[in-house]
Formats: sequence, C-alpha cells, structure tokens
Amino acid sequence: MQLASQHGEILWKKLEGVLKQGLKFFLFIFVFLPICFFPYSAIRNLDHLNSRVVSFSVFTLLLAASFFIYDRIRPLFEQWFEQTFFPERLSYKRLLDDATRRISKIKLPRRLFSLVIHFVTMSLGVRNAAVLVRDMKGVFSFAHQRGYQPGEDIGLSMDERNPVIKFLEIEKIPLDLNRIDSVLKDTIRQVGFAHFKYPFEVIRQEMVRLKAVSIVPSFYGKELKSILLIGLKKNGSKISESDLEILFHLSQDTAIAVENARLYDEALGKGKKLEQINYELHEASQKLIHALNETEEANKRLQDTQAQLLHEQKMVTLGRLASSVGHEINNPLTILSMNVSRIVLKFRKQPDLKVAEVLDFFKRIEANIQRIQAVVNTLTGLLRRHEKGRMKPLSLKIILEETLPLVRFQTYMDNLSGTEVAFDISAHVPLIQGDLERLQEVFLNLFINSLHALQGRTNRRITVKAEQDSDDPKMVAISFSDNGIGMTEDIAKKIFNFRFTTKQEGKGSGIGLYMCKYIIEIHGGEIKVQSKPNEGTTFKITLPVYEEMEHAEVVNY
Amino acid sequence: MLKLLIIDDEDGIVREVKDFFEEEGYRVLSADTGEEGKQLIVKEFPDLVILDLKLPDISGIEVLRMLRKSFPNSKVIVDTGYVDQGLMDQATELGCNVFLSKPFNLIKLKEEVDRILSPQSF
Repeated sequence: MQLASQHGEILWKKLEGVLKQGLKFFLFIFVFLPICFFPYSAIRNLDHLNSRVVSFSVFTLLLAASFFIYDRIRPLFEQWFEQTFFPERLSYKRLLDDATRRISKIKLPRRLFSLVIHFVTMSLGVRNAAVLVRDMKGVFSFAHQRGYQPGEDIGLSMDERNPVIKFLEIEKIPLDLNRIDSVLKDTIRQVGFAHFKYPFEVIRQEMVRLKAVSIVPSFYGKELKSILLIGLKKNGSKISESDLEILFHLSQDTAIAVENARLYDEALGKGKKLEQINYELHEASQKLIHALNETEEANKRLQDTQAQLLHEQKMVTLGRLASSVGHEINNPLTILSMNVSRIVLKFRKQPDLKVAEVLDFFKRIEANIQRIQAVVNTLTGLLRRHEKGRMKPLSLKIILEETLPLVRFQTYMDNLSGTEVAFDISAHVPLIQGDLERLQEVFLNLFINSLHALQGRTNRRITVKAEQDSDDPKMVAISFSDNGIGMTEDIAKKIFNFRFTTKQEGKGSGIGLYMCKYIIEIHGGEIKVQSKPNEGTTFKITLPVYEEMEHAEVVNY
Repeated sequence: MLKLLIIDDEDGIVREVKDFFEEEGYRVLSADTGEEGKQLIVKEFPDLVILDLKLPDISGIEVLRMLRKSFPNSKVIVDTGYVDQGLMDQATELGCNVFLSKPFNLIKLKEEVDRILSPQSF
C-alpha cells in the first residue's frame, strides 16, 4: 500500500540523497585534491631534493596523510551540512540518540515503558500515550500508560485477530489517523471501498476507541512485540512524518531493550536459580561431609569393636590353648609327682630300699617326662607358626592329597598296595584353619592306623568324607573310615590315651593317636572314634572353618 | 575296708592311685568315663570319690551333680588339670570336700583322704 502523504516524504529523501552525493563530490574536488597536490607540487620545485625516489615517497606519504585528514573532516562537513539544511532532523536525531542511550541502560521492562511514555508525552506534548505488550497468549494489554482514566485500560486489550494488529504485523509501519483519513477519501473516490486490503473503517474506529491518533509497532526480529498508542497533541497540531519516523525507530530500540531486559531478567532468574542450586549443592555437600564424618566415626567404632573382638578371640584361643596344655601337662606332672611321692614313701618305710625295687617308678617317670616334652614341643612349634601367621586357611582336600603319597609309600612297604582310598569332599566344604604340617601328621597317623587295621583283609578301603558341620556351621566335620579289623568298645575308649597301644611291642608307641587328639584339640576341634570289631573304624573329626578375622590376627603370646 | 572310687581317664594316674591306696589298705575302684563312674557309685557305694572334671564322655560336673543328688552325704575330692574358675565355682556350689588342682602328689592326696574319712569329720 502507498499512503498519498508519504509521496512527499519519499521525494524529500531522494533529494536529500542527491544533495549528500553532491556534497561528497564537492568535498572531494575542493578539499581532498588540493590537500594532496599542493604540498607535492611544492616539494617538486625544490632543487636540492631532485631525486625521484624521494619525491615519490613523499607523495605517497602525503596521499596517506590527506586520506586521514579527509576522513576527519568529512563528518564535520556533514554535520555542518545537516545543521544548515535540516535542523529539525538533527534535533530528532539527538532526541532519538538520547532516548536510545537511556533506554539501553534500563534493565527493567516496566521502567523502560515508563520512560518511553515519558519521552513521548514530554517531547511530543500529547495528552495520552500507552504501551501495549503482547503476552504469552498473544493478547496485547496495557503495560504502561499516561492520560487514560483509571480502569479504562481494562477493556482496551486486543489479540492478533484485531485488524489494527493485523495491519501492523503485516505492513510493519506506523498507523496514523490523518493518513487513514486521506487514504480513505482518495481511494473511495477513485476505486471504491472494496479495493482495500485492510478494513480501514474498522481500524479507524479501533483507533478512536483506543484514543490513539497514531499507533507505532515495535518489532523484535519479525515478531510484533508491543504497540505504542499516541494520543492527540495538547496544542492540537498533527503528528508529523518525522515524529512518526522517530517514534518508529524508538519503538524498535525499545523492543531490543525490552528483549535485552527480558534476557537480563531471565539471566537474573537463572542466576538466582543457579544461586539456589549452588546453595542446595552446598547444603548437600555439607550433609555429605557430615555423613562421611559419621561413617568415619562408625568405622572407627567398628574398628574398635573389631580390635576388642580380636582381643577377646585371642583370649579365647589363649584359654583354649591353656586348657589343652594344662590338661596335657598337668596329667603327666601328676603322674610324675605321684611316682616321686611313692618312692619317697617307700624309702621312709624301708630306708635300705634298693634302686632295683623302685626302677619301675623311674621308668614311668621317664616316660611321662617324654610325654611332657612331646606336648611342649608341639605347642612351641605351633606357637612359632602362629606367630609367623602359619595358622592358615587350608583346603582339606589338599591336606589329604598331599598326605597320600606318604601313605602310598607306607602301603607299598606294608604290602597293602591294593587298598582303595576314596575322598568324598564336596567343593562346598569351606577352608579350615590350621597348621598344614601338624594336620598332615594327624591324617598320616590315621592312615597308618587304618592300614594296620586292614592288614590281612580283603577289599581294603579307606574313605574320607568332609562336609560343613550341620550342628555348627563354624566347623567342618570329617569322617575317616576304614573297613578294617575294628576294635571293642573298651579299647576304643582308651585309644587316645598316652602310651596306650594294642600293637605288638616295637610296632606302636601309643603316642600317635594321643598326639592326634592333642593337635586337633589345639586347633579348637574334636576327635572321636566309633568302631565295631570286624566291621571297621570311623574317626569323627571337627575342625574350625577359616574366618577372615582370625586370619588378620597374629597371635603373639 | 574303706572303699575309694577314682574316676579319671588318665591311666597313669589311676594306676598310681590304685597301687598306692591298695598298699595302704584301701579298696580302690576305678572308672575312666563318667558313665562308668556313675554306675559304680550306684553299685558299690564308695566311701570317697576322687573325681576328675575333664572326662571323655560327660563332664565331671554332671557326675558330681548326680552324686550329690543321690548321696548327699558322700565324700568327694574334685580334681582338674586346668583351673577354670567357672568349673571351680560350679563344683563348690554343688559341694565337694576338697578341690585339688593337678598336679598333686600322693602325700597330699593321702592327707586329704585321711582327713575327710577320719571319724572327727563326721
């Protein structure tokens, strides 16, 4: 569309362009060229600088200098030119620059609109002015106003279906009542009402309703952000094209400022959110530190408890050892003591007693001294291993398998090679805790005893079974069976006794099973025997399951 | 003839006690398990029981309990190879004439036996 009153404006702009080009040409001819050539021609005439190189370089230098000077002078000329020929325009420009400068400094959209309204009412001297801003739903409503009655603004909101908004959104130029009027008059006269792309009658009514003489759109990018309503001037004069132009520019600047403010607001909001998040993070980290401290403390308490437990366990182990040792040493000591007192009493009664008559006592004394020696040796050996941490997690299977070659040798020696040895040890049997060599000694003794019991029998078989003790999960139950000659209950009762043997003189010492029992007991386990004559013998052994904590403990007695 | 019963799984001790007290004119019975000891107590009514607390089958405490229940006036010397305060307390509570810790010699044992079985102590 072309409004008739704009023709003059366009002509004026063209003229202005021509005048500016003319001014540039004038400046070039009359300022730039003289600046260049005057000094050059002056230098050329100097005889003593009659060198082409020098004169050329001076020329180049002058050329650059004149360009520089021209650049400085041109704006001054232009300013002078504008001041002289378009004074009104310059004042608007200043006004606009000023307003823009001020606008760009404002960070609150509300304050921004207030400033725009202030600028409009003061500089143009209008009765009323208002800014309507588009909200999220696309509805334009009052953001700031001056000169409207309180409550009047409520009904003045409008959305994108409104013809005013439609016009502004598509044409992107200000609406002016005067222009509409002239367009209406001209066009109706020429082509009739129906020609209009826009319903100017309705637009006119809307403008009257809004008390607006002019409406200036404000775009950010391609989007219509807000509109500025401008009322009648107090002095009754019209709003000029230049006024509208300035207002249009101002509105675009406002839109940018508003957007900046919005972004600033958003950034501020985000900043606050960030601050909140930061604060929460700080809180959380504080809590975490607190929790960590608590964990550390709990850990320390746990360690203390563990140390306590370890100590208790140590005491239990010590007690168990003391008990075993007490029993195993105090019994032979009692026998020693008894023998000594019997000798003493015999001498009291019979002072001329011959040594031969008490030789048996001495033999028994000697035997029990040996017994004590054996017990002490085993104990010290075990303790030394304990100190070196040799109470290790052991696999029963490995103990047995490593013992087997020794047994095989024995079976060969004893002409018992046909003996079947079967291990029934499931993979689920936990590791046991103990001294490998000592436990091997135990099993070797059991093997040898079984082999002796199998002598002269057919279908000789030794079976070793192991499983976790169903009564006490902390123990492994082992049964060591043979189908040998067996023994009576009376003998079975005594087989762990010191020096008890059923074997012929020179074959058995009566120490093997006694030491087995002692070693098993020192490990914290038990050994029992079940036997039936001519059917076989089963040794039931329990040994403690390996526990991590006991491993950590190195008992220092 | 006074009848002694020694309940102990240690053969060496039983033999020494038996030999010695038989020489001294006692009749000495022996048992190497708790159950056997209990049977002998009921069957033989010994004048004095020398009881080891550590037995292969049942605890000596159990034997003592049975003895105290069936024969409140019976005489008992309790001995053990390892002094366990808990066991000692239990034995004292149930009642025993003397508590001996191993090792002890025959002279000491003889003194205690004579003291307990002398007419004054009745």
